[in-house]
Amino acid sequence: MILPFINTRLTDYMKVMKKYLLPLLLLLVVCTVLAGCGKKGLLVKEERNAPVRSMGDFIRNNYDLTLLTAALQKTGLLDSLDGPGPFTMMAPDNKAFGEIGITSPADLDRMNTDSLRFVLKYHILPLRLYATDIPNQMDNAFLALNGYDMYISNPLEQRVDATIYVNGAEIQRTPKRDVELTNGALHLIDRPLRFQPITIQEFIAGHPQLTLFTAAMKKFQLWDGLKEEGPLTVFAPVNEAFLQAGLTEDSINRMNPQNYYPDLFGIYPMSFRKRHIYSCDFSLIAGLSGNYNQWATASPGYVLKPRDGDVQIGESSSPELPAATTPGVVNWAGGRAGGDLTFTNGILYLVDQMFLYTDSLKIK
Amino acid sequence: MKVYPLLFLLILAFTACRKIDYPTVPNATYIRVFNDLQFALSLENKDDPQPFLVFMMDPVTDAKGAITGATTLGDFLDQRDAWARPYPDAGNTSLWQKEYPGTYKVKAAPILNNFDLSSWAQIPSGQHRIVIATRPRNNTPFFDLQPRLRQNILVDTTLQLDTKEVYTMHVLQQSAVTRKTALYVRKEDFWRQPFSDSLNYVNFYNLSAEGYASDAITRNELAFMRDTMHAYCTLLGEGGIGLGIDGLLMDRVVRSQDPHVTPYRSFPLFPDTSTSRIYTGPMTQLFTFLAPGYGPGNHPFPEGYPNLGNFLTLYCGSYRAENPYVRIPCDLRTGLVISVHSGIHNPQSFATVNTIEFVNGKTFVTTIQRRYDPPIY
Repeated sequence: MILPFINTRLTDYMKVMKKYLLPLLLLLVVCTVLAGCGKKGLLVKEERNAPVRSMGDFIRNNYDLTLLTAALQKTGLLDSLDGPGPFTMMAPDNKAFGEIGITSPADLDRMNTDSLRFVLKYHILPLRLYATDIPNQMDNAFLALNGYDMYISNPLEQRVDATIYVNGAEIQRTPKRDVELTNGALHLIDRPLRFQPITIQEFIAGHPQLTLFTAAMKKFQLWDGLKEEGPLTVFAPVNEAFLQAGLTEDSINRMNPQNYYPDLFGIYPMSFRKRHIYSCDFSLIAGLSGNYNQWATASPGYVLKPRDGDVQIGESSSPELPAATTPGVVNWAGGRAGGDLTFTNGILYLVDQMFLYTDSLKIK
Repeated sequence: MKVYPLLFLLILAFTACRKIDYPTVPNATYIRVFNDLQFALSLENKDDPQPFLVFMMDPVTDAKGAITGATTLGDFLDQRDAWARPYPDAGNTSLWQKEYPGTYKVKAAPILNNFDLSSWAQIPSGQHRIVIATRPRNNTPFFDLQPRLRQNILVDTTLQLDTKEVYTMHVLQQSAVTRKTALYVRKEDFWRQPFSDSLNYVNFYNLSAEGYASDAITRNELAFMRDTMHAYCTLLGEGGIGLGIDGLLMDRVVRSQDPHVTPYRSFPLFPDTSTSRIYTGPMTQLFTFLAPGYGPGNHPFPEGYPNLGNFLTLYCGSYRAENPYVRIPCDLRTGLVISVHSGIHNPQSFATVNTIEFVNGKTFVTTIQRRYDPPIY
């Protein structure tokens, strides 16, 4: 196009220019428009357009969930979480595992694979559940993948940032809840759920720290009640607590139950009342009603209030019992790992001190 | 040519042929069910059955004895509302019900002796097994729940329901000590009575649990009544000015779960003689309950403070008292009187028949309206 203008004078050049300018400009515009019509590479790539990740991917790629990843990998569940679902996972993060003394994958390796798989399945629901879907009541029973109930309490308000607990563990706040994934939803919880498919009695019988408690329950004819259907809420002082109070296997066997108020050991299984109390229940109910003077009757003379990390013991207005017979507050044994232990017939708390002073409950 | 208009008429005639099957209930009787159970969540009772019920009539059981269906089903029966309105809330699509039939699409009772019974459901009369169970507070229909969640039966009874009778049923707590639940079935007789249409009628029940009042006295509760009280009526106009009826003794209210109908007491529809006698004007009915020995002008209790159950006030209507114990507005302008657009008048006031029930510290009003003419616009 430029060639005809070579060796022409400026005026001629201007003339030609005027003649060709408009068509040239038009040509330019047409070319630009046509070039713009090419659709190559305009679309976002398919995988960028696809919905968010699957649950397995999410857990695998999250630095806060390395221990959960290790546990799921060890039990062969991680790949299943990439499947179609739907799943809802109550996911303990690394800090939550730390609460029960699991700080590295090596700690997980020491555990029995089958029981680890069983308890991990207890964290997974075979449905997609968001915070706002949880009905407004205490202890909503949801059937977990292992075939047992998970109890989700949401009594305050049915909304996205409600205070929600599952088996006494708190579901963390947004953005750590309602994580939407291709095959389900994920919520982070602040401590792993503790569940074993046995009765409270079976657990106590097999626990090396509870031999003295076993002896006392047998001596006071309360042992058989621990395998009742329930639901029960049981508090079990560990062996050190008994030794601290001057009770050995020998001295327990020499005690005569007739000489003591039934409260002495009846308080630990709450006199076998049908109770299902997690450590979160007090704060949830008090928050709902504004009544912080909430107690649950445990025996004729005493009331209890399990809280996160400790148990408060109060005296009910029973005039016949001697006063000041209890330390008032008793901590869980083994930190936060000692409470909210769930079994087929109820909930167990391990405590580090006796609830009542033995001598003061002797009938005089 | 003349065939076309004929053909047109024929087409018109056939398209108009539509068969509508109206449901009929042979030998019908009329029922309405309320859930009066109260529940204040505490550590002590958190595992007790919740007051969220399912009402089943003539349940079908499987080989194991578990209930798998029912001929009449009132699912999602929540605690009753303070005001049981005189007609079903047809626009309401909520799943949870304040009463049965509530908003269920069932065959409603007809107009009986000029009383609109559309809040009652028709069921066949005769002997019926009635089962009431508590259920979790969620949106899953009862029979889709896991079997173990369907086993909390509160009431299982058999009743003889007579033809063309009006029954009101209440699920009540029988005793504050045993916490047993009972079904209270009252055979209503308001529709048989020769009520004047220029008087409003009201009767009173105290259906509280046995021992409730003494417990409430120990807890120093704010608004409750003792087992024997006297009810007085005061009529208030706009801004709370008196309308001539002040502290009229209505009835003696005695706690009882014996299902007999208490007598209806009346107050005039148009107490204000200066009104048009079409619309009463803004109006409030104040019911004062006082323990025997006190009178409306002769008691030491300031309103709005705990008084050990000696004094209780209930305001129905537009007036907003400063410290009422209970206020149930009912008809927002005229309380227990219904004021609506009827005929050429908008509004026109109509007298009603009412029941005031007091159950474990809660007060409930049920209003039954008469039939009135549709509005002419």
